Amino acid sequence: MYSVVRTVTVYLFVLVVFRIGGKRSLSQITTFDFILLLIIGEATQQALLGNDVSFVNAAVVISTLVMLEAGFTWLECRFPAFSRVAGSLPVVVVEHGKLVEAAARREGVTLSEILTEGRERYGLERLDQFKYAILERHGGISVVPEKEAR
Amino acid sequence: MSRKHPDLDIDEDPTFQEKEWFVQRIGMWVLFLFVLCAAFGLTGMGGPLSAARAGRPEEPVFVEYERFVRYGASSTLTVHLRAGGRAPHGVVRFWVSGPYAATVHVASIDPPPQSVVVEGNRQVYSFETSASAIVVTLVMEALRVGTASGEVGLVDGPSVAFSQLVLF
Repeated sequence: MYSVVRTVTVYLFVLVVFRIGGKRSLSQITTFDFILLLIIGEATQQALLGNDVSFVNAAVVISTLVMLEAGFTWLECRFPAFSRVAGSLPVVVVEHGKLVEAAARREGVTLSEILTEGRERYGLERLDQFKYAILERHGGISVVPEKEAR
Repeated sequence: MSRKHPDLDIDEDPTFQEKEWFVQRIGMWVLFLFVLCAAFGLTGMGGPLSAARAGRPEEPVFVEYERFVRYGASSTLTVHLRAGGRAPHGVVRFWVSGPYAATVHVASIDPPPQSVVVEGNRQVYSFETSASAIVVTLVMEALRVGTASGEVGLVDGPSVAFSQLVLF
């Protein structure tokens, strides 16, 4: 029973912490994110398994995690409000060539990151070639170029 | 669909987003306070607010313990004993209350006791020593979540009581 309780508690705790951390918290693997991911992964693994390295415990933990994931997916499909709370909403951070500063600041997105995304995907050179840049739910930035820039 | 950007089909909701940012700010403060509490010892594993004492150093029994311990994690209980005239034949005997002993697993005792005997509702540890004062360190793991009240005393002597909070 403790394995299930621990797994559910750790899952919900990690979910809440990453929701608090914002969409960008682990969206890209920079050196810092990589270190963070390693440490969090190790701490989570120990919290989930404790001293019990038996196959049964691992099976209980994995099964509980998959059931939680399936439960969350079902709830997200069934209740759109739950989807928003658990997974957030996309946010427009550039609008017709202008940075939406309040949104970008609160989401921790820099102009440099947005410009990088535009350069990498569409070869955009300037901000005025952006129609929209949207910070998606998963933390990535999607770019809609102005028609003349396509 | 977006109400703010009619030409963009995204599920945007500025009102919800404002609320989310507000909750995230509060959440960050909560996390900050949590880390601060942990740094001061309120989540166990050492720290100034966790380190506690029962009794006084000049008394026959004096215990150093941790107020906050974690379920399944090691913590130490340091028992200072001044047997004085109560150590016949160089043997110091102290007891740990039975109900407390049932909530912890004693992983190690330093120095190792000569014997451990259950007497009534107590676990009695005996040490052969020529010194009038000894310090015994018990490394323990809590087996139950919640409060754990314990008592430690010299056989036929005074005792001290203490209480711990075992965190999940």
